[in-house]
Formats: sequence, structure tokens, C-alpha cells
Amino acid sequence: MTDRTRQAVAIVLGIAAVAVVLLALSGPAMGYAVGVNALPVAEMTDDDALEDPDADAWAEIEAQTVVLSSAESGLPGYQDTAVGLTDVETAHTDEKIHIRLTWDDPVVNEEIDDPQAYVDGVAVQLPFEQDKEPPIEMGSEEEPVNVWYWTADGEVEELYAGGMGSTTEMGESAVSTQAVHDDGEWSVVFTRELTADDRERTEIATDQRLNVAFAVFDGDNAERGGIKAASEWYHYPMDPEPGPSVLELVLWSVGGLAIVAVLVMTVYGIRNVEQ
Amino acid sequence: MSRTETADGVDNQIAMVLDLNKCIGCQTCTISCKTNWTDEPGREYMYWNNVETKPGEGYPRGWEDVGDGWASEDRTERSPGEIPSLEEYGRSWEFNHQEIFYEGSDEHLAPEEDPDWGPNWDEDEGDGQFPNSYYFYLPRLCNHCTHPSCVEACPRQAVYKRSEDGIVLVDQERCRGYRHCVEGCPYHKIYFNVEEKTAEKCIFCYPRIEGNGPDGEQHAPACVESCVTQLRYVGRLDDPQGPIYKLVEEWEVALPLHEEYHTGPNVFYIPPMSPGQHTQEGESIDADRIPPEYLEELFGEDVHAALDTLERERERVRTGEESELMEILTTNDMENQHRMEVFADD
Repeated sequence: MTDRTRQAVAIVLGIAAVAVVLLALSGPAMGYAVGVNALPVAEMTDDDALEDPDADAWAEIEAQTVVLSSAESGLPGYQDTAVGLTDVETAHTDEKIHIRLTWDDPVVNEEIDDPQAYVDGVAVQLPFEQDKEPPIEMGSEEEPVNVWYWTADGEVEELYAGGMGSTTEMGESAVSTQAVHDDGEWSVVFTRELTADDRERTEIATDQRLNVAFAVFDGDNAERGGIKAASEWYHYPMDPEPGPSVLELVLWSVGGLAIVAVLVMTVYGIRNVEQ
Repeated sequence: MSRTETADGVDNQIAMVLDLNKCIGCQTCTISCKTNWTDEPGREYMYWNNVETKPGEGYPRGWEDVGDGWASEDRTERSPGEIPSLEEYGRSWEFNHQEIFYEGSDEHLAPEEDPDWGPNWDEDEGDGQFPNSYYFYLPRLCNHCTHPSCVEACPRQAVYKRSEDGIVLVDQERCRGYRHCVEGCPYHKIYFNVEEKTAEKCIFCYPRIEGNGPDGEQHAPACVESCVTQLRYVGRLDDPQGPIYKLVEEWEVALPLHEEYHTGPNVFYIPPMSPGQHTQEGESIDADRIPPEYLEELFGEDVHAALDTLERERERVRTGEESELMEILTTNDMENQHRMEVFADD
């Protein structure tokens, strides 16, 4: 091997080693900080009027834009839904959780006063078991869901569902809402106690992953029931960080060995060049 | 497929035949239905039974042009329509009865608003040119179809066809007011109650036919019993002794309305015969006042044979012969005209 060749080999191996180390470092880092469909959630010590969508406290809380697309119901006109995005902010205290949703809707539809009239609405879907991921369309019999459903005529319903077509209203809603329409935008806050002492409501533990999905209804566009703009499953990553996995240990070891090996070869290569 | 075939899962399909040769458009059936069922809040604009003038736009306005029930005979796909607005149904108007009858006002009796459409706005207008203009009355109600597209439309199975008698009903607990049924019925005979936020429709007076009304007696539906000319027949669809089967299957004079919707309606119509046309000078023209082509649009091509049968049997009676068909159509035997024993709730 010529000197020049050795130089070239040393440089290439050097770059390769850097790349391997970077990959080894970034793998676990990506898994923790920027999970797919993770939502920020703020832990608050006191309520601070968070039930009010216009409360000052919301300005400090991180929002996440959630993408919406037409729910797959197959109903007439289901593919033609109006709203594409909603911003989600979430906070909880020791006792309650507050979820604030905002979305663009220039026309307020708040009264059903005609057979053709539908109202604006928004819904939050939680799995009955908070870390499960049931089928997105209203869950299934084996994995049911809770749905908190607000409509602009002032009604709020708590629903239990085990698949499309099975939605049933729970007795009295334990969810409360407040809503504001301002400057072409709806803002709605859902509030519920974290604990739920019954067989239908999702028990919310704040040290566990909580899966969540959202849907928006544009009343002006005759959206209702299965015709809505819905999100995929998102989650609040409230579970504690786990220790390094076997894979991570292996990657770190390989990375470390790669650094050592490359240093050795570089030194060897340079020495030979000098000679 | 026979028009008298009962749906799967139904014990005894209840059915109705209306003889359009007898309808005088008095709306007694409409009012008797309304006073029984639809004078509740949210139902003011609903006429579970209505009588419209044909040719005419009907109730709701232009209903025949919107929505086709099933897309084809194999019923694999629906062809939903649109939900009408209150304007297209015709708002229920507020009148000045109080002022005129009790407060001495000199005003004319009139709606307080200035309407430009109502549920019977084009009454008696019809079509055609003098001296051969024509119209007839068409009473309509839910057909309690064998293959109801409203039942199919509901994603929650809130609309169902009950097994005792095939009456189609809306479960008020399950209904969440989506109104896919309203857009799914090609006859526009299921309505939305804006107060209750649920769908509502003709119930074929099931408490009456069960014998569960206030007097504990079995009764025919209100529209049937109240009819001034007694033009309606009620009975089991496939009862070979009953008037429905005889008029639909044997004599083939009773026909479904808009059979091309493929829903298999269980309400049938005997088409209206009409006098001959004549010139302005009074000379006869060999043509019917009501054009058979128009009747074919409503009742299909079998309407021509039906009209011929009616004419032939009438002629037999005119010449002194007997006709079972004319016996049925002119009977005073109410027990035969309303054959409902099998539907009583015992």
C-alpha cells in the first residue's frame, strides 16, 4: 500500500468512525426527546382558572399542532371534511386534567334550528385503559374508549364506545367544558378529575403514558357522527424514563470500540506516512 | 320478485292499498294523523301523512328529484339524496285566529309571515291545457318498505323494521340525530325533530293496530279509519283471502309508487281513471284526461294493464255481470277492508 493510499484509507475510516459514534449517540436520544405523536403536558400546582380557555395561564403552556384528516366511515360525503389542524395544550394538577383545543372555523354554527343545521363540535378520545391503542374509529369491543364530546349548542356529553355504531351516552357528564369563539377561531377547554370511580370512565394516572385522539366537527359542512376530521393516536409521555436497553448498551459498546480502533489506525497510518 | 313477498325476519307484513279513484283531497287523513301524533314541539312542520296534488312538486318540494333509495335492483349500493330545509317542507305558519275570533279584528285570516311555499302550495294546480287540464290527489305516508334504505342508512341501527309486522320505527334512545336516514329515504317520509334532535316518522299507528289505544280496542291506523271515502285497505301483505293480496297479486290493479327506488314499498295505489278529453267545441277525443304516460312515471308500465282491468271490470258491472274486483272496491264490509286480526297484541 502506498503512503497516499494509507492516507486516504485513514481519512475514510476517520469519517466512518465519527458517523458511527454520532449514530450511537443519537439513537437513544431521539427515542426519548422527540417521540412520534407525543404531546407536551404541563404539571401545575394549582388550577389557576385553567377551565377558562382565555385564562392567562394557558399562554405559558406549550402547544402542539395536531393534524386532522377525514375519518374513515364510508358514510355519504365522509371524505369532505373542513378542518385540517388543531392546536392542543394540556395541563394537569393533582386532581384534574385540562385539555385546551383551538382550531380555525370562521362560521359559528351553534343552533340546530332546521333539519339541515348541524353544530360545530370537538371531541377528545381516550382509551378506557390509558396506555392501550384501540382501533382509532371509536375503539372496539375488546378495547373500548371514552369520548368527551362538546358541541357549540352548549351540550357536553361523555360517551362510551366499543366500535363504530356503539356510542352510548354515560349518565351524567363528569366532564365540564368552556368555549370561546373569537376572530374566526374556537377555543374549548375540557376539564375532568383524574380519578374516576366507575367501570366506564378511563382512570387517568399521571405517571403512565396516556393515549389520546381528537376530532373536530364543522357544523357548516354537515359534519356529525362518523363524518369528522380526526387525528391519529397521540400520547402524553408521562411514563418515567426507562434505563438503557440491551440494544443501547450494544450500540454504545460498538461505538466506543470503533473510536478506539480508528484512533489506533489513524496513528498507525500517520506514523507510516511520516516514515 | 313478487310485490307481495314478505321481508326476511318479519312474521306478518302489514300493508295498505289506496284507491286513488276515491281521493277527494279533503286532508281528513292528514289532520287525523297530525292531531294524533305530530302536534308536539318540533313536529309542527311534519306531515307523516300528507296529500299532494299530482302533477305537482309535492311535500317536501321537489322530493321526487332528490335521492333514489337503492342505486340498483341488487341493492348493494344506496343512492342517498339531500336533507330538505324547513322552507322546502313548508314552515308551519302562525295565523291570526286569536285576533279575529276573540279580539274583534277586521283583518283577513292569513299567515303572519308572507310565505312563498307551503306543504300544499300547488294544490289543484295540476297540469295540461284547458279544457283538458288535469290533476289528482296522492296521499302519501311511510311505505314501511321490505328493503328500507333508511334502515340501511343508519350507522347505529337506530332505525329498524320490527319482526311482528314489518313496521319501520326509530329507536328514540339510540338515535343521535345524524339524519343519514332523512337523506336516505327516497320518499322523504322520515323527518328530523329539531327540539328532540332525533328522527321521527309514521309508526303505522301501531298502538291502534295492537289494540293498545285508550279504549283497548283494535283500530286501523288513524288515516285509514278517518278517511271520508274509505279509500284505504289494510291487511297482511300475503294473506290470500285479504284485500291487499287480491288487489296487488291477483287483480294486479294496485301498484307501488316509484318502484324504481327498489325499496319494496308495502303501500300500493290503484291508479286514477279519468274521463276522456274533448275539444273546446265539446267534441270527444279518444284520450284520457290524465295522460297514461304521466301515470307510468309514478307507477311504472304496469299501470296501463291496471287501468284496462279497472275499465273492463267496471264495464262488466255496467252490463249487469258480477265482478269480484268491483265488489272489493265498493264494499261496505269494513272487516274485510281492514283485515287486522293477526296484528292484535294478545
